[in-house]
Amino acid sequence: MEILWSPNHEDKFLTFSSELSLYKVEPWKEDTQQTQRLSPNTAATLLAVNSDQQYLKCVAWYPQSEPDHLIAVGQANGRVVLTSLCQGSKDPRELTGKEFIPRHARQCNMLAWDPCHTNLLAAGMEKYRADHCILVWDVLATPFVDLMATPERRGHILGNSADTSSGMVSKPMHELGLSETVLSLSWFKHDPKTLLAGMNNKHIRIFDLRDTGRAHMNTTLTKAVYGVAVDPYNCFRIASYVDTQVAIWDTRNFDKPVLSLTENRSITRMSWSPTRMGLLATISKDSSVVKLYDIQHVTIGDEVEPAIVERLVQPYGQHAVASFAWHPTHENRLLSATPSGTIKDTVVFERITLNWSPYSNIVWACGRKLLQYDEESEEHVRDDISTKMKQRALSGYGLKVEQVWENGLLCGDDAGLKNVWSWLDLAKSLKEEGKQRINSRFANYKLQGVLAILKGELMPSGFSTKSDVHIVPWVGMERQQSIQQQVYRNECREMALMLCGWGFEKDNSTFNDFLDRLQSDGFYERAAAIALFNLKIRKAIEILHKGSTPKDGKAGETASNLLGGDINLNVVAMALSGFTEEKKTLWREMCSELRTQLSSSYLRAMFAFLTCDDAYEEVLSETGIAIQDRVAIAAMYLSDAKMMDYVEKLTVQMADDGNLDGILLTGLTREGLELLQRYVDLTSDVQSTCFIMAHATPDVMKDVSVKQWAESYRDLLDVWRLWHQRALFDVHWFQGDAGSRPPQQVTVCCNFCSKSISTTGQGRGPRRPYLHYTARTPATKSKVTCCPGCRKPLPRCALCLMNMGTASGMGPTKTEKIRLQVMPSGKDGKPIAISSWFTWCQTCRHGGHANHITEWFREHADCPVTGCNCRCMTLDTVSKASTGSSSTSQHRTAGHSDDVASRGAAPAP
Amino acid sequence: MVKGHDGPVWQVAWAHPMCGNLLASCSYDRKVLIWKESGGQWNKLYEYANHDSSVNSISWAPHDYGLMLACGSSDGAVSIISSSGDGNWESKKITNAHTIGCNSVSWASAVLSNSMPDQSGTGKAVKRFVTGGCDSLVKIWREDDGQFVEEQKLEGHSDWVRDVAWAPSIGLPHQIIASCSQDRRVIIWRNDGTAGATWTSTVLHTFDDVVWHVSWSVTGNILAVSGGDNKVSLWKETLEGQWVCISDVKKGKSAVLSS
Repeated sequence: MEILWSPNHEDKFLTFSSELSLYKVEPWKEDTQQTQRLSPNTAATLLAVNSDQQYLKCVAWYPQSEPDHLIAVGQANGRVVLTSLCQGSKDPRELTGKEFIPRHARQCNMLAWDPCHTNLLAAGMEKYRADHCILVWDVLATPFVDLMATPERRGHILGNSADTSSGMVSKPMHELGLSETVLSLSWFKHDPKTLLAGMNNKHIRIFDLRDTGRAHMNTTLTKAVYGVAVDPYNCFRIASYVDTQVAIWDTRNFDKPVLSLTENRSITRMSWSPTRMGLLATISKDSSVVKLYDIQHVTIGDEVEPAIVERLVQPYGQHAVASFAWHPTHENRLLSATPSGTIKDTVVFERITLNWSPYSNIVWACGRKLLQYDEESEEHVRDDISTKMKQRALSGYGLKVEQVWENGLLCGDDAGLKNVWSWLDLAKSLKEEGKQRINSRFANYKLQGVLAILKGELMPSGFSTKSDVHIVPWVGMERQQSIQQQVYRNECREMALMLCGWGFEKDNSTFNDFLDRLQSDGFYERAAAIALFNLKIRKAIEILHKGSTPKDGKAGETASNLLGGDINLNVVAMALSGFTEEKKTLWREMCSELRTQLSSSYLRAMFAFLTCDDAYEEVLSETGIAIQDRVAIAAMYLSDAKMMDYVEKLTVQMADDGNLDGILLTGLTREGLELLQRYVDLTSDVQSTCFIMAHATPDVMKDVSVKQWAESYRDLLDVWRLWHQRALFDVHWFQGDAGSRPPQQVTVCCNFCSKSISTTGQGRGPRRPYLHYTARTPATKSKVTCCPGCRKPLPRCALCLMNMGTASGMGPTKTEKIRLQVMPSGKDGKPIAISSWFTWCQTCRHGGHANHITEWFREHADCPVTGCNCRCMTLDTVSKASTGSSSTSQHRTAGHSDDVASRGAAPAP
Repeated sequence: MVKGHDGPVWQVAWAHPMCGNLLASCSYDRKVLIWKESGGQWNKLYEYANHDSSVNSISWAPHDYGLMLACGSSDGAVSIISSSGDGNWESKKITNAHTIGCNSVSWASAVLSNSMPDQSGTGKAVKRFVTGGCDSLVKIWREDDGQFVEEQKLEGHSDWVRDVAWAPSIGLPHQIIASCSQDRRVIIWRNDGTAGATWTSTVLHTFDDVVWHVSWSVTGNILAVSGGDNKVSLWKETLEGQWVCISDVKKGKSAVLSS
C-alpha cells in the first residue's frame, strides 16, 4: 500500500494499492464512528473509494485545486487515466475521465506533474523497441485534434478500447528516450520544463523540454536510478537510490555522487522533506524504522565535507513500515503505513533547546518557531521565591529603617516574615531605649534572643539566673479571692517577657493598650488568652464577650456569620466564668473533656491552663499559639530548670526547621545565623535574611554565610537590572557594617596639578572616603572656586559660566531642602546639595552644575557648549533605554580633558 | 545576522555584560567564534579552531574569573579559552575528557565555589565546571595549579549524556547539578558542600523519550526539561526532597512568536 498527501488540501490523503481511497484527517473524538485513528489527536475518515481502475501501477495527484481530487492513474498497459475521487466537483476544462494512450502498450512506471506548468504530466514507461519511454502529455490538449493529426493510430485506439468516448488523447506533447526504460522521474521545481529521470539501470538524465534539439541536457552513469528526487531547497541537489545505497548528487558536478549513504537493507522509498532543508527520509524493506538524514555541508579549510546527523523514527514499534509521505506544508509531519494498512500520523520532533530568562520566562526553540512562555501569568512561578523577591525588591522591602515592622507589610501573607519584622522592630526599640538609658537593663543589648537573655548573658558576670517564686492572686475573682498562682520572676525573665512583647507586668495601661490593639485587629482569642495568662480572668471574659457581640460596622453582615463565628466566644466566656479551683468539680471534668473539641488553640490553651494538672505542658505544646506567647508563658510559670529545658529545646527545633519564629529565641547572633541558613536552604530567600542581618552587629555581619547571602542578593539584583534597588541595598548594608565599606573609587582632580580637589580629603587622607569631593554647599557660601593644591581656578559650568565650586545659583527649592536633610552629610555635618555637584559628559568632557545640566538635557540632546557637536544625551545608555533611541552606544572612558579631569577607574569587577 | 561558521551552529552564549556585548558560538565546523558588537556591528573577535571534530557546547565561566569559555567537542576534548586582557587569548585543552565525545559543559557559579572545600587553601574561588559526554558519564573538573583536573566522575546514566546544568546557588552551601540523557532520565546530583562530601544522585524522572536539555531558573529552584516527546516540563523540589512536576507547559497557553 502506498500513501500520498493531497497537494491542495492539508487534511486529505490518499492510499492506493488495487484501489484508491481518499481520507480526511480530523481531530480524534471518542464517540464518532471514524475509520482509523492516526495519532492520539487525529483520526481519518474515509471519504471515497475508487475501485474502477484496473492494472493500477502508479498515481499522481493533480496539483491544481480545480477539479478537486483529480488523480492521474498510470496503468499496467501504459494508459494514463485522469479520475476524480470527488463526484460533481467543478471541472470547467473537463479533465475528469480523460485518457492518454501510448502507441504501444507496456507498463507505466511513474507519473509526475510538472509543478510549474501544471498541464504537463510526465509518464515513465517500460522499454519498447521502437517507442519512447518518457511521454509528456498535455492534459489540456483536445482529443479530436489529436485523433485527426495521427490517423494511423486510430485503428489502434479503437481496437483497444470499446469505449469510443471523446476523452482519449494519443499524441504526447513530448517524447523522449527512444527504446529506453524509465524507472523513476521527477520535475525540477525551479527550472520549468526540466525533467530528471533514472533510466535503464545505468543512467540518470536531465532533459530540458525547451531545448528539443538535444537528446538530454546532462547525464551520469550510475546504478542508483531509483527514486530520483530533487531537493526542494536546493535545485542542484538530487538524491537517488539503488538497493542499499543512497546517492546524493550535485548537478553541477554530475560525474560522481557528492555523498553515498549505505543502509543495512534495500531501500524501498526515499523522499526529501518539503518543509526542512536537507532532510532526507528513507525506509527499507521489512524495516520498522523511518531513517532521517539531516544533510548539511561544511567547509573545512578548502574541502567541503558533508555533515550528516541521523535520526530514527519508529512509528509502529517493531512493525514494518511499507510507505510514508511527508506533509507538503506541515512541518516535519509524516504519514506512514504498514503493509497491513494501518496508517499513522506522526510529527518528527525537533530537538528543543530551552533557556530561562532571569525574569522567570522560559524561551525555547522548536522547529522554525521560537516560543516564549510568559511565566509570570502562571500560578506556580508567581509563588516562586525569585518572583517574590523581585516584587519585594521593587516595593522597597527591607529598606524601612525607621519603622522596621513596616517591612512585614511588604511580604504578602508570609506570617513568618511578618513576625520577624515586628519582633525586630520591638527589639530595636528596646535597644534604643537601652542606649538612651530609658531602660537601663537593655543598655548593652545587641539584639540577642530570649535564650541568651534567660541565660543571663546580658547581665554582669556573677549574676545569678536563679529566680524567685512569687505567689500572685488572680484579679477579678469575686467569690474565690483565695485563688493564687505561682509565678517565677527575676531580671532575666522580665527582660525576656519584654522581648516577647509582654513587658507590661507592672503597667496596666500598656497591658490594656496591647489587648486593645489585638482586639481591634480581631484577635479576640489571643487577647483573651493573654489576659488569662496574666491572671486577669475578668478581663478575659470581657474580651470574649466583646468579640461575640457584633460591631456596628458589621451590622450588614448576615446573622449566620455572626452566629457561626462569634457566639462561640460567648459560650466560652460563660464557661470561663464558672472557673473553680476545686479539683473534683463537675466544671473541671466537663471542661477538660470538651476542651479538645475547641478549634482555636488559644481557647484550648485557656482551658488547659485552668483545668489541667500538668497545665503548662499542655499549653506550651499548642503550636498554634504564637511563639512569643509560648515563650512568655514559659518565662512566667516554669521553674528555672524546666524553663531552660523548654526554651533550649524549642530553639533547637526552630533552628532545625528553619522557622523564622525562632529568631525570637536566637536573636541576630551566630545561633540566629544557623537558623537563617536553614531558612535559606529551605526557601532560597536570601533577600529577607540579608535585610534581617543588616540590623545585626558588624561582627555577625562579617560571617562568611552572611556575606554570601549579600553577594547572592546583589547578583540577583544585577541580573534583574534593578540598579536603584541594588544601590539602596548597598547603602543600607554598609550602614550596618561601616568597616567594610568599599573605598572611594572616583575622585575629581585638578586639571593642572592632578591633585584631588576635595578640600576635606586633603588634611584627613582617605579615612573618610565618602562624598568628600563636595562642591560647597549653599549654606556655607564659602566659595572654593580654585584647586586647593595649586590655586588655579576650577573649570566653569558650561551653562551659568560660574566657576565650579560655587553654588548653582538656583538654590535648593523647598522640596530639595527637605530632601537635603535626609541626605548623607559631609564631614562638617552639613548636607551636600546634589544640585551643585560636578557632572560632565564622559565623551566630550563638557559639563557643569548637575541641576543646570539636568535642565539642559531635559530639552536638548546636544552638548551645551557652543561648537561642540557631541550628542551627549544619546550616548547615555540609560536615557537611550528610556527614550528608545537607536543611536549607537559608545564606551564611556574616563581620562584627562580640557574641562574637568577625572581620575580613577570604573568600579572594579 | 552574522556569518562565520561553515556548518550547523550548535550553541551560542552571551558573555557577562561587564565584558561588553560578547557572544560565543560553536559549530560543527570544529570552530568556536567569539563575536563582539561595537557600533551596531558584530565582528569576529577571536577564532578558536583547535578541535578535531564538531564543537557541541560552550559555556562562559562566571565573570569573576574574567573572560573564560569552556568548549566541549565530539573529539572528546574540552577546551578552556581565556582572555589575558590585552587582546590575546590563551587556551588549555583537556584531551580525552569523554571518550567518543563531550556533549555539554556548564560552570559552577563563583559564589558557590567559595563554600566548596578548597584544597589549595588559598581561600580563592575554585573554578569548577561539569561536563557530560557520550561515555554516559558526568564529570566534574576543578582548576588545580593552573590546570583543570578531573575531580569527580559521576556514573548513573546508561546512554549518552545530552546536557548538564550546574544550578545557580543562592546562599546555599550545597550544590546541585542536573543531567539528562538519551536513557530518558534526568538525574539530580547533590553535594552538601562539606569537605570530602560525595555526590549523591536522585533520578528526577524517567521520561518517555530522549531528554535533550535541562535548564535552571534564576534562583535554581525550578528545573525546565525538554524532551523528544516535544514537551517542556517544569520541576521543583519539595521540602521533603521529592521532585515534582509543577507544570507541563502547554502549547496553547504560550505565546508563539515566529522567528
